[in-house]
Amino acid sequence: MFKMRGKKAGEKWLSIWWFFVLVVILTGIVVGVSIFSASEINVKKLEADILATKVIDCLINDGKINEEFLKGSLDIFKECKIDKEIITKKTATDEGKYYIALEAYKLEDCEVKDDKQECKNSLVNGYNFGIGDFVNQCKIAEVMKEAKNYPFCSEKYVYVLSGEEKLILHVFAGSNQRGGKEVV
Amino acid sequence: MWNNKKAIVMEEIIFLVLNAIFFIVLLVFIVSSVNGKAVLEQKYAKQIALLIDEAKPKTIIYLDMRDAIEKATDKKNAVKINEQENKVIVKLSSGRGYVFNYFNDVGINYRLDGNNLFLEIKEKENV
Repeated sequence: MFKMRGKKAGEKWLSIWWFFVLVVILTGIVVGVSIFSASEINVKKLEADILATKVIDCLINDGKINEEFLKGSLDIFKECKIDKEIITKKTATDEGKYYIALEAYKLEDCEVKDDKQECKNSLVNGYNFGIGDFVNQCKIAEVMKEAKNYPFCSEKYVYVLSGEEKLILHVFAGSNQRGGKEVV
Repeated sequence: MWNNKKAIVMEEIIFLVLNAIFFIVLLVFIVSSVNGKAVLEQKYAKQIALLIDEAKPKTIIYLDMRDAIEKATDKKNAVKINEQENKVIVKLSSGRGYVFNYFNDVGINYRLDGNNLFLEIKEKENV
């Protein structure tokens, strides 16, 4: 503490400690607000949900599944108007941002266990694009509190008809797109 | 005696002024950071990309971007959409802009209409 002309009131407030406290508060708030401002608005789950819904919308018409899909000859990117390059793009610096997988099962091959749909013997193969490891990474992200570098996924099971036969369409979509600042 | 009282009053005034300056600077910093350009760039780039992803051809969207456009350095070029690379770019200050990809393979007409962004989603023209 330093004395200002020996005045007690001045000594009480105009001390170096008071301003030290102010600086500590200021630093804390600046750091806190900066962290908040730099934090990411996470829309990965929303994006994965939109991707899954978009695929379901284009594969099913009036409750009936596109038969070309079951034959394995459907180009889902062309059919669903999804940019294949964006979904499957992989570069040296970019590991890929999306994953989408489609499967179809007979109704009798599926059962609900612990509130979770479980199916076996998919009728179609080869409808998976992007980073397959998102399946595991999304499970990790779900149980972690802080998972900003992990993808978020959306999984949907839809009852559909193929002629008279009842099927279940399983769609799994994931996104790990973070976006960022670029020179434009 | 009178001089001593005057000095005490001066000290009190200096103390109050310094504290007022401190809290004003703090408040200005917090408000400018929370409503800052960086947050708005990210918010709108993601919002526009998700709107495009969800939209079907023949959809018309008006997005109120008043808070962002008012702060933009170059208001006319605050939003750009690169159809070749499927990118939404929002740039409110000089330097770098925030970039976010969309996956919907559609054609887009866009323009800034005052503080609103006009988006028209259409079928992509085959090149």
